[in-house]
Amino acid sequence: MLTEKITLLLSSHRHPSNPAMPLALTRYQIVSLLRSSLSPNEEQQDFEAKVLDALHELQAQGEILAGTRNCYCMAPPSLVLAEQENLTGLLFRGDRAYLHLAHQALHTQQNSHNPLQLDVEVQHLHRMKECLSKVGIRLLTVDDSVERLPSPRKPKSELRSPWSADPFSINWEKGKSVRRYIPGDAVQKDRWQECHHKSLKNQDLLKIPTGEYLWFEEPHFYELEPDVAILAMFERDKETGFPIKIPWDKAQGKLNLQGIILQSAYARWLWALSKPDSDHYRTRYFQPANRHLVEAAFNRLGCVLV
Amino acid sequence: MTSFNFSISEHTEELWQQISSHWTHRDRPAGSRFLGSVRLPKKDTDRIRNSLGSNLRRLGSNNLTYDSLRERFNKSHQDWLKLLTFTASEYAYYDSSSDEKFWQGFCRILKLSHSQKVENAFRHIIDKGIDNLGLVRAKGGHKYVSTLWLQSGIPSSNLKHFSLLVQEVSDEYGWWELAHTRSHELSQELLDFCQEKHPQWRTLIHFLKSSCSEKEEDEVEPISGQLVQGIATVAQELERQGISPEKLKDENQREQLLGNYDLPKNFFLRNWDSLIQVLTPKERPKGSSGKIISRRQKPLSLVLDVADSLYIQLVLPEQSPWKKEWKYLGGTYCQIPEVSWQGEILTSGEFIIPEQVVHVRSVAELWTWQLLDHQGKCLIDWKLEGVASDLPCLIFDAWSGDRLPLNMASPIIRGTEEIICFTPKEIQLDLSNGIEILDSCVPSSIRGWQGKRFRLNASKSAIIFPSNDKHNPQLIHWQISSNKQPILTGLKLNGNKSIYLETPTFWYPPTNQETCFKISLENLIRQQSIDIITKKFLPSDKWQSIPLEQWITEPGAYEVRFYNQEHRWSYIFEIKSAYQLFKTSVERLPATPQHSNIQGRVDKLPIQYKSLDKFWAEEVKIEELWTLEEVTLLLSNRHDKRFSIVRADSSGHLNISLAALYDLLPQSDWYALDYQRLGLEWQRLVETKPISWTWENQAISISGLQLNCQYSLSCWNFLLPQREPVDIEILLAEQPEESISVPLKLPAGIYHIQLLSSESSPQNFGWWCSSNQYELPDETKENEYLEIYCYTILDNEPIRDFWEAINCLNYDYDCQWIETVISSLQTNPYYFPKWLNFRAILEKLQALLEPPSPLISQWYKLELCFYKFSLTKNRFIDSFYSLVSRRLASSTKRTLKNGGLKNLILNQMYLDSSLKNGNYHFSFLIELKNLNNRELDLLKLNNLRFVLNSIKHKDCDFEIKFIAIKTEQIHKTIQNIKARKNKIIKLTKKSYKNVN
Repeated sequence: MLTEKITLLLSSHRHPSNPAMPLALTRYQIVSLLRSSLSPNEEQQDFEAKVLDALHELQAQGEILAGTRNCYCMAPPSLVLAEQENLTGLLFRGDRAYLHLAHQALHTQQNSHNPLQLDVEVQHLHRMKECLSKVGIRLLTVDDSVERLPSPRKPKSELRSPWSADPFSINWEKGKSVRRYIPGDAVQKDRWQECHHKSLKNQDLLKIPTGEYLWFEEPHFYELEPDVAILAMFERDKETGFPIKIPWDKAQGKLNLQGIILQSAYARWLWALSKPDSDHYRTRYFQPANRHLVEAAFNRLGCVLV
Repeated sequence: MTSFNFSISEHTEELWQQISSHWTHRDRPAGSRFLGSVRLPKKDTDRIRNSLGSNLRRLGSNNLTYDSLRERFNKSHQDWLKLLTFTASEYAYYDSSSDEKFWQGFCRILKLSHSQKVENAFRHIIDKGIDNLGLVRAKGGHKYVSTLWLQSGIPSSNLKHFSLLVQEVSDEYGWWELAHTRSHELSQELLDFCQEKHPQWRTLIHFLKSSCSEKEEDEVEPISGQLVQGIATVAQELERQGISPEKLKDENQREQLLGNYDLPKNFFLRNWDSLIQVLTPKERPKGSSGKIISRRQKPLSLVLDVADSLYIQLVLPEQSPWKKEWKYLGGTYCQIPEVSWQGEILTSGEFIIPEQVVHVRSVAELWTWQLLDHQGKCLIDWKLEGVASDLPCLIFDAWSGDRLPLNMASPIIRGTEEIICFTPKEIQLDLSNGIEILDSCVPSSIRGWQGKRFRLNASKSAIIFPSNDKHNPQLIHWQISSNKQPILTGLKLNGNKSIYLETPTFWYPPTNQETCFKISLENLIRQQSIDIITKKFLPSDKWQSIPLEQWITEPGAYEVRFYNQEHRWSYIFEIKSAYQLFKTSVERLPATPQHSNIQGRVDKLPIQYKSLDKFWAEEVKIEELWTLEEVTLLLSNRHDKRFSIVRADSSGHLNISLAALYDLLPQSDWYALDYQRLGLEWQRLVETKPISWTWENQAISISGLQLNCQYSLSCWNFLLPQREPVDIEILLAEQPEESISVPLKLPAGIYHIQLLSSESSPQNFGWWCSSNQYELPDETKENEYLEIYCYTILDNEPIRDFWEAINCLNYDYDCQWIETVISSLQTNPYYFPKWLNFRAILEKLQALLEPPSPLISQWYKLELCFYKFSLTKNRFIDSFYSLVSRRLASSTKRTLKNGGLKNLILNQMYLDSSLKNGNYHFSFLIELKNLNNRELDLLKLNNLRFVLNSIKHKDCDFEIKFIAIKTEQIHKTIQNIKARKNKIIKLTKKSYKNVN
């Protein structure tokens, strides 16, 4: 499994001065390192796209974090408690280097079927939390409040140091160019359209061929974290009145997110409240009790559920 | 044979064919044949030599040139060349010695007079002969003499000494070290070793010297090093496979055996007889004195730190160079000014220049570093080609970080698919098809430069470098080598070292012919050869794999070599298991974040400002967060609040500028900023105008509360720790007030009080209590354990009792909460009545975080007997008991304290009392920390007696006994008493009041 290889890879790269911290790798380093583990007889054409899908999935699962310069790293180690009352089914998430410490702290043995599951004997929640925090592991519970999810907005505080090169001055390879986000009737991924220097306007949201998001605030370009850029995309949709349409079968509780990129807090939140649909990639199934939450969240983002 | 006439080509042809039929290496590929493998007895080769001598003499020494010989001996047939070369090779093996120059000796045995002209002629002939015969050639140095020596390995006169030397060197370093040292270094070590231990072996030293270069830049064939390296490899393999070295005696068996091993390319040894003994396994220390130290100068290099900083660095590897002429400098000072390194020249071997790394901030055409002696004289210089002014560009392999040097005339990049290319910022590169930009701005440590990361997706392409001549730009070609090389695949770590997270797999490229390879595997950590196997690859258009898992199953460092006659590939790699942290293996687990603002470090949060301007101007830096960690911010004012998410950078630093949040909320006269890390508590960072409060007997007075905001006090009772805190709502007046007094109408208890508000995170006010000592919460009526627990607090009882009571309560407390209330007790003003001890409360709270360790104790039975004791009313027995027990407790304590034995009393229990014949007997059980005899005496003696005297009834005499009791005996009794304990305490309390 690609996702398992990625978590192994990211958990094995440690900060040189403090090995308790994981090191961030760029998307290209991840792709190349994974590629060097493939058989040379294997077709490698859409491999990069597969890795990118896997990275998105891991982000939604709360396993990894994404930052600027196409960087990814393991999320802080945590144990996820699905239900407050049931302390026995704890799942480990994030930096795998802490898995052993988690077992030590809770005096558990590795589960042979699912190494990420910790079978604790009933313990007091607070004491468990305390034991874990002593070894740097957090105990998370599923929070279903929509309130905490960030609202779409234009970047502001993020515009600190300008991007060091004008992306329009770079001779990109054939078939690749700087793209600008323009809301319209198209689906989300097709709203990125080729952009020329002449048509560039203040506060344009751009994406360059290497994958970084840039914001143009005269006279400089600034790189945006993917999450900030995605919130800016939704803000732009709201502002221009072209909401993204997302297929939602309320009766069945199925949400089809294929082709939709979400801010990672939203993705994590939706993933935590749902289960994967085994037949369709990026389709999530929600229990009846959670269905109104889906609507609330997308309402906050300004999307239309269809 | 002497009758052969070299002028007749049939003669030379016949003679050469006779020799050739005994030549084992005849059918080997050209360039890998050793002439020493001709198996002819010495008497035959002597005859050939004599025949050659007489033919040459006929020509006369004066006329001896290549051309004249060719003229005389036949132009078209080259056999005479071969015969002469063979004779020279045989001479090198049997007859050359240190006493005579090589060519002079050769002339002597051919009975020719030596001259420079003859010597030149021989060199010329032998040069041709070597090519003609397809012999291995030695590089550099005395290239003909070395090549001739190389043919047989060791000259026969040296064999005995050489074997002894090998024996000694292997005893010193072990076979493993010898087999894994570079042959150049080994040659030098052999020479030094022999010169030091056997200076009298002049012939061998002469031979060993020819394998070592006099000067650094001279290239010499390290024959002796290669031989010892090969012998060591053979020795290891024989030992591992349990093969007797006797097998090497037979030439056929030897060839077959050695064919399996991965030996140096120029390894051939004609005679093994004297080595058999050396190779016979015996008990010997495994490489006692460790590594062979290389005295060679190692070059300066330019690398890109791809694993971490992405800085361009000049790196000088650790080295211990040594030159003979330095021996007069021993003990003096030396320096490398370019890196500000200073050291002292010690005797050879001990002089080490540690690795030097310098970040490159600006470019140079040539980088030069020098090692200077104490007088500033240059001892070594390291030169590295820099950046040419007409091609200002530095290219590195994106994976290894190695610099890819460019040939100015036709710059070309080979052997890598990903590069990072640095140029001055203003230079715009063009790319031909097939090159993908992976990163368009890689920061550079060189001022004014910037990098780009490229990948080559085609078999070849070019980077176009702009030049003044627009029609003729400079092209940097880039191609992947066309003939496919075998590769190792496997998940590995980023960086220039091959560190795999799984056992790699070897892949052989598509091939159209059947190929056989030997594979040797070694464990470099255990210094063990794992196996040597033969693998055949059949013709295939697919890559063929050999999973190494079948031999390598555990983490470690390995070397795997694939080789046959034509090719040789070696892979050194490490395998690591998935990284796991252990408590002991980590220096620092993720710490609590460090906060600082523009003024510097912040010790106490929140940062508070009276003016709004200062609030908005604040910039907070949080350090020691997780790499790329998400942090939720909450900005609030009186009316509203806004959540937002920010992210730490890849070093775990986060800068929060409040100015950037300025327009998130409508105008207000009060703001606060809180932050939360995923799964952790909210923390207030900055706020305007703090709230202040003062405690009163039955109320709290608060100022600084905001209108239009809902507040309440949350009061947590330490006597009822499991109960939800009691909420007291605060009703604010319509008009702003200076301060508001909130009555604290709370049931009996010791409270920690927090201010909750709809706008911000809770604020700790501190601790408050105004009930009296024996006022118990109502809940204790139904819960005996709770009552015991309360008494341990109200009575300021020892920590151990408190801890036991907590355990009986089964209280699942939140340590974070306990830490909060402890810090609140320590930092905020508290309001306690006199009977309540601040320290006792603090210690009890702290005990929840660090439970007291079990104590070793001893129970004693304490018997008191008051003689002729008269009590008229029974109820006074209880009160008297209480008085006695309390006084006893405090006096025992005092006694112990006076003796330096604080807190020794752990438990005391009433056992029995009876009134018989006017004598009143008491029995107590007392549990004390383990006491020694002196301490016991102290207890028993006058102090206790004195105290008892003070409570003595007027006309009564008394006696006291102290009896140590075994735990097993008393166990049941204690159980019984514990069951009654509650009752006793009640009784005690009542009686106590009565007595007072």
